[in-house]
Amino acid sequence: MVFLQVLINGLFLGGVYALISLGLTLIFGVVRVINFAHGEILMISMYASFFCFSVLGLNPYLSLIIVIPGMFLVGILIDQVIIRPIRNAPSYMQIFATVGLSVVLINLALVFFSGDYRSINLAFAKQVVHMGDIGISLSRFIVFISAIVVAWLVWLFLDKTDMGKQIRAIAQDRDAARLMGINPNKIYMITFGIGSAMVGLAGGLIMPLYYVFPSVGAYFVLTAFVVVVLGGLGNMVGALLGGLIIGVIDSLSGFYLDPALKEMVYFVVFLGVLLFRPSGLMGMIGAEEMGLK
Amino acid sequence: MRILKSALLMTALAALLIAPLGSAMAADEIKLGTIFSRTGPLANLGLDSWRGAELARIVQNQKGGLLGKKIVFINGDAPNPKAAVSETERLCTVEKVPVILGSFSSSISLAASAKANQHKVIYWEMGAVGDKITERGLKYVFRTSPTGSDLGRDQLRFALGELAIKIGKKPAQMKVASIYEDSAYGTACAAGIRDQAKKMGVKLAVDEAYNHKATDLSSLVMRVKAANPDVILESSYENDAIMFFRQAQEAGLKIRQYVGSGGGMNQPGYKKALGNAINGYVCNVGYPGYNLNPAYAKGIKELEALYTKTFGEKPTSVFSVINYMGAMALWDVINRAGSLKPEALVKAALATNIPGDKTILRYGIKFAGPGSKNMGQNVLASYFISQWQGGQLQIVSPAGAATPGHSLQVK
Repeated sequence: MVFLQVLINGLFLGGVYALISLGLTLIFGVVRVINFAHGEILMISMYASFFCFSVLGLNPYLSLIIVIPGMFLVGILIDQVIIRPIRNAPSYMQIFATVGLSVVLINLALVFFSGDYRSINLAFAKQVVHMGDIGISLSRFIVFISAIVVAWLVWLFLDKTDMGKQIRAIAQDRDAARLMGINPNKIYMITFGIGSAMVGLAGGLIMPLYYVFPSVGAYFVLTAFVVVVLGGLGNMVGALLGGLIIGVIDSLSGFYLDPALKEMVYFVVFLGVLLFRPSGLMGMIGAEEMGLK
Repeated sequence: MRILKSALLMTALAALLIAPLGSAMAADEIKLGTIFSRTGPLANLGLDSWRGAELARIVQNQKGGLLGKKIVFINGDAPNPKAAVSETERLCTVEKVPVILGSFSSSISLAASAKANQHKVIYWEMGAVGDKITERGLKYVFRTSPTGSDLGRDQLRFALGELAIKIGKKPAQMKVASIYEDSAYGTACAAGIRDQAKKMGVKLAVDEAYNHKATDLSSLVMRVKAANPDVILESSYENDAIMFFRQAQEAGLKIRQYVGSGGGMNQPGYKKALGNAINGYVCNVGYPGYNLNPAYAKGIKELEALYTKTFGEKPTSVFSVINYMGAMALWDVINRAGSLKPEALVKAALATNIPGDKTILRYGIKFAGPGSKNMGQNVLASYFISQWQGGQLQIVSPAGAATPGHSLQVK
């Protein structure tokens, strides 16, 4: 029974990681920018959710209808202002730009919101459904289900819709896509927007569970990078799977080995996967070159 | 030109007039140095700590000073350890002070006290908690306040003492879990708990470290839950303390009381995030404030009034109290030494034996002597226990010290 509880805890934690990683892997797979400001986009969306609650009195789940479109616009803004001018620059230039953006955003947050930890004290977030000895936290369950649904929806979107096909075409071969009449700038912009909107969803959903402070992004984004690389760069199902695997390893090793050792255990697994499958679990060989699958 | 000449002449004259006056003043003054963060990131609490010493100076001067002379402070500013070293150097060599009082921050105290010790200047620490400060065998370093590992010691003492009685269990029946964040602060507390457990012959049901930057503590919660303890001794920062508490609630962890060691569990943010759930459920080991029972801490109300009168605002933190007490102990040492020679001061300090009822915080002062591993540490120093009640931290232990109208609660 304890094992089952620990496993469920791990899956739920994995859901958090997966939800944060989905946007990162989309942006990486299509726009080909390693977005080091991803954590700060998460931070902004958590603050947005927090202020919707504390100022407007909006339930965090309800405020998603503001936060998600808002973050979509923030993503478009970042893409057009920061990324667009250096679209064709070497990748290390883009890394510098996003690292710079991350530093600026953290410090702006420090100026405006101070370094205090802020959290939402929401009765719903504490509700636990008991099934025998197993306790299931409703708010964590929502995160978990959302991660699966979002991964599936985005996969459907990329696979079935015309826009999705355009996005995949750009990801696979930018020049050929352009010859087919696809406007790369528009696609990049929209992809960055969608990726950021997904982080907006993540931020809104985890705000009732965690707390926000200016550098909160760094706590999550390191794990998100591990998840993305583990799952295969640019791969939605990979990010979902990667997130769940890391979550379960985190939880099991924390319980059965030692809470202080859990990071070590999942990094060892991560290194092992990279040794035998350098392109990640779901990544095709050379996916980092070829792009989205 | 003429104006310049006459100005020079005037200055020279003025200097001649003032100089003998200055030295005459110096003759009936005792100059002591202070090292606190007066600027920089630690300035808030650094300055408030200094204010405690300043109040002790004012009080003593009203009583006639020391050895028939008025006490004067030469205040050094140490925003960081590097500045602490150069300011200490200045106080020792230029100002030639016999004693330096400090310093709130452990890193500043470590640096400054080593420098003062080189110059055979007494370093009188009244607030920094780092165990190392008095574990280096430095002859001229003394500390009146309790240490980091004393936090852990007092957590366990309280859990197996007053808390066990209140819960209605014998100390031997109490199951105690110790969890701590794995940086210097948490490990020092946990070491204190472990040492005390050994002394009391108790086995800890859980003794686990975790990283305070972790994004999830559910596995730690599960481990604690599996051990089914009565009480959790926790040393954490604010965010991880909030997360542990929430995840423990989610997991349905049932314990009788949390006992924290300051860190994050006495912060307003902790209360804000967890609301009423912590009332009567979370205790903290730490420095007491002005809410001590005035019948126990005699003079605390007068001290608060003097603080407000002197600095024009209400006390901004609890740190002025321990620094006041530390400085008052120093006056006792200087009076008994009868001189400001370093050897005489060390001898008098080591002979200190102030009983509890003679100090404002009611713990005595007696320093560990040469040969012991914490030479210069006040072995009688201890902390107070406060508990969240009605959204406020109220002192609940020792029972006599409890804030009027409050006593220890358990769920």
